[in-house]
Amino acid sequence: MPPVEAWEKVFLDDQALGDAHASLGCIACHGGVGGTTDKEQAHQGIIRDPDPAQTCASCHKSIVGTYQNSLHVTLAGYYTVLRARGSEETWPQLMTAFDNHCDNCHSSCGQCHVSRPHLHGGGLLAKHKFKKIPPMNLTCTGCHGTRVNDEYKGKNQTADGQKVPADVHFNPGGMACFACHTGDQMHGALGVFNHRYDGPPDPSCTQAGCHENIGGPDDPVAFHTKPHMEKVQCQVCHAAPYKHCYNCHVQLSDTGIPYFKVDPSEILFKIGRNPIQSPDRPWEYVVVRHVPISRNSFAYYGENLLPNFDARETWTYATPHTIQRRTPQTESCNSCHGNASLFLTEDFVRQRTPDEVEANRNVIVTKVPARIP
Amino acid sequence: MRKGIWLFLGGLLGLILVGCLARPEITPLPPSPMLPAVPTLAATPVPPTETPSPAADSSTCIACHTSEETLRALAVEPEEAEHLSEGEG
Repeated sequence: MPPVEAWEKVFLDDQALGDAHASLGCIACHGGVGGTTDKEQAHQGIIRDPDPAQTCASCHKSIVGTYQNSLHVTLAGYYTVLRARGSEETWPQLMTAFDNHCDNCHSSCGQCHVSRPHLHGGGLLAKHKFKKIPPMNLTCTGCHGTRVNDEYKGKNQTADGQKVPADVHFNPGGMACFACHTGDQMHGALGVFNHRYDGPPDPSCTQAGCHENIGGPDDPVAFHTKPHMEKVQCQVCHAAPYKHCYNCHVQLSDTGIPYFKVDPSEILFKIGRNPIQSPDRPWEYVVVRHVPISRNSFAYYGENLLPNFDARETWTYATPHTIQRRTPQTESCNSCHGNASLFLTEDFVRQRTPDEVEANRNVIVTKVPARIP
Repeated sequence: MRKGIWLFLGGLLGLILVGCLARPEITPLPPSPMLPAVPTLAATPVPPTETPSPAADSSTCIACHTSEETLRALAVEPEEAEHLSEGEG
């Protein structure tokens, strides 16, 4: 994100002061003390990020009623994977690590609609104007930068120097995050989920108004056969290589500052078996991404804090933002059939992440679809 | 007729008693190995909220925060935390 100076982070604009929100005044939402020009005194009891239930809810009741279900607020996805890999005995130490390293990664009404996320130092988006649609570059990709932003905008290149193009929805599509990730999704209005891949895909490629006729009688694409549509996630054919991260370790400095170390990432494309196959996501083959976790990621906080590490795959179900109409996979039948290099095989897992073979049994492809004569 | 009613009631009572006796024993499930519950899994009802009161005078806040000169003089960047992390976050 572009840097912003300290004064500019809190600089208000006359235009913002004409907004309906401004009619409440500053103190009604942010606390503090009026009638003084002394900085310290004025800021006594100041609330940087007002509680939505005490402020926004007076007008935006329905949104505030559901936003607490949002994964941006609950962080339930983190808890879900830690519960699977941890144990009752190691839970307290895991939660200490979580509080130090992960708990900042959440959002609030204000941290999308008024300011940049606190995780990145905050600062008003538009001099305290309330942005109904938050600017994606300062909010969404401020946090989702390493993977989503670089993939979506075509900033990655493979190890052999091949530039990975931007996702077609971004260029030439010109679609911002909110074109697919709706306010309802952001505001938790679609239900309570324990993980972002719980429930039906949302957004879905084939939802109304998008590619809803794919695989239908009028679809001219020969590869969109019934077996392909039933067995293969869209991204298997239409994703370009995407980012994989390895060996994230967290710890505190001598002075108590949390920090992390991650091995260099890698831009790869890999097809695995679907670890979350369900009527909502029925495909047998999906693309998989190595996520930044390892058996000893939390070793600083204790020994073997993830005793059930093998209970969950580390090459996980993925939906990369590198969508292309044409990819190497779409060139011919045998681009995929018989091409073991595209698949997450046991040999590949042993080579890249040798102590994670058991964790990935569910996703490892044991028999690559046969070459078509 | 009255004898018939008594017979019917007696039979009904018998059926109820047999039904109660025949209830199968419920074996309690083994204790769940679940870890502590994931917090905030259900929608938390939002308490009724009053519109925030605009009563307090914010004019001094606004005077300061709309003055670039004042803010340049007073705003300080929080001390940057020691940057120790390595790799992409």
